[in-house]
Amino acid sequence: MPLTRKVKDLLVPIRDYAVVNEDRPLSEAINALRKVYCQIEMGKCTEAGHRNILVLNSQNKLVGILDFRTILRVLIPEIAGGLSDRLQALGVLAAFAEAGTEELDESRMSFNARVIKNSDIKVKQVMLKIRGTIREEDDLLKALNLMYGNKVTVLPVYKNEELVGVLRESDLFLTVADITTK
Amino acid sequence: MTKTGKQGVFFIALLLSVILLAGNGYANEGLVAAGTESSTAWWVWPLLLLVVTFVMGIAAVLGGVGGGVLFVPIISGFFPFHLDFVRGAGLLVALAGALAAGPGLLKMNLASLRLAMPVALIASSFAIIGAMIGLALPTQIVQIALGVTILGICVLMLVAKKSTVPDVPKADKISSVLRIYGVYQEASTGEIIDWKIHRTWQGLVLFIAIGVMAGMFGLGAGWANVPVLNLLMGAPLKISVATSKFLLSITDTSAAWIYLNKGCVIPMMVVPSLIGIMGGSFVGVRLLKVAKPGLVRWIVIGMLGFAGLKALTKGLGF
Repeated sequence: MPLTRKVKDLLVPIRDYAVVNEDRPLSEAINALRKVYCQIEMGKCTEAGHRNILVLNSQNKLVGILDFRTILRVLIPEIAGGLSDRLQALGVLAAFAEAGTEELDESRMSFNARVIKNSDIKVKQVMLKIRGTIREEDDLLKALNLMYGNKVTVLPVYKNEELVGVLRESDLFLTVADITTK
Repeated sequence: MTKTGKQGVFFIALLLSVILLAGNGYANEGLVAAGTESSTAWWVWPLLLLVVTFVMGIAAVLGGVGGGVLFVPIISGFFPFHLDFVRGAGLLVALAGALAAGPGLLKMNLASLRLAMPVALIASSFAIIGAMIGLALPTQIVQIALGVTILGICVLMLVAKKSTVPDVPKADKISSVLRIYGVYQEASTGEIIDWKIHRTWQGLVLFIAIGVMAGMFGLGAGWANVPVLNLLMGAPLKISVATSKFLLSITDTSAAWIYLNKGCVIPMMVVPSLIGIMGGSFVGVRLLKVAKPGLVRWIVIGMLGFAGLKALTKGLGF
């Protein structure tokens, strides 16, 4: 019965996961995530890599996480952002236009230039908080409960006080899927 | 004329016709009010406000003027609302735009907190005084002063030049002590621009007057902030525009409290106005991306002048 397995049987070791320091720019996080997601060094994009990057502080403690959606919201807030992001983008555009200086508005730069500029922001300003962690000795049902209760797709796994890896929703899916195929 | 140009002019024409319609309704209202109860249904005015402010939002963006500056003279001139309510709503209209833009401008490192704070302290204190004066003076006097101010704004818009990065040979003492200087990167060229300011005390004195006027008339104050920050104090235009908008969120909030406390903020007027002006800005910036018809600015300034004259004649009782 697969679900009797423990978290430690399924976790992705921390050394295989992308991490970034909270004080680094978002562009660095994007590059690191792209690398593990696409396995660029192997020359192919498997598209089955990790979809998140962990954010560590200067003491190497886990302080946050970034996913595709969060990153895209920061890079193109006027499209991928929520209502307040869009209002903000509108406000800035209107502010320059109402002063008759719309040519100075940086959001009128080309899409690429805008994305590059937006990626300058520090990771800690945009990262998501960690919602729920799990210990490596815990069972997978507890992990499922935590994941769906907290509406997250990854759980950091701890051994005592040390971060040892990450448990992903996709691995849980494959484990449950095994039941139907066997 | 381009298609967008035609669209812009069409919207302005629409604004004029709605205003005339409202003015006409107002005249009828005046006639009716003398004898019996008003014959106009209550929902007509919020609806008209929504339509007029929507077009106003487009005109403000295309014409390069603040929404608050257009709102007070036009609504007070052509709608049957007491000036106090119009000023209260005007402040909130200006405030909405400023609050929407503020966080973005700060994040983009364009609105300078060091420049904004001393100025905001003065402008917001005097905005409170201005609001108190405005509410204490007889409406007619305020109306006349508003008319004169609006005509002054028109002249300012016609003659004021802008300087992208003004030449500031040496920062003055006050600005050095307050550490009002900064650096930003010009996104289009990648150039790093070091800026500092001069004539600080003259600027701060002018912000006393700007604060009083912002509070008194509920106009917003971007029209005055930008020239003072840019031309007098020598802040780069980009920093001036961004800091001015951020400043509004502080100055107008102070004044808005006075109006709110005196019961001059009516949701029935404020809600449609805010929705209208924000919706209009939304459409405006989209039109702006395609092209900017130069004619629109002239029409908007002309409209503003007409509204200023109307405020003046209304105050003088003609």
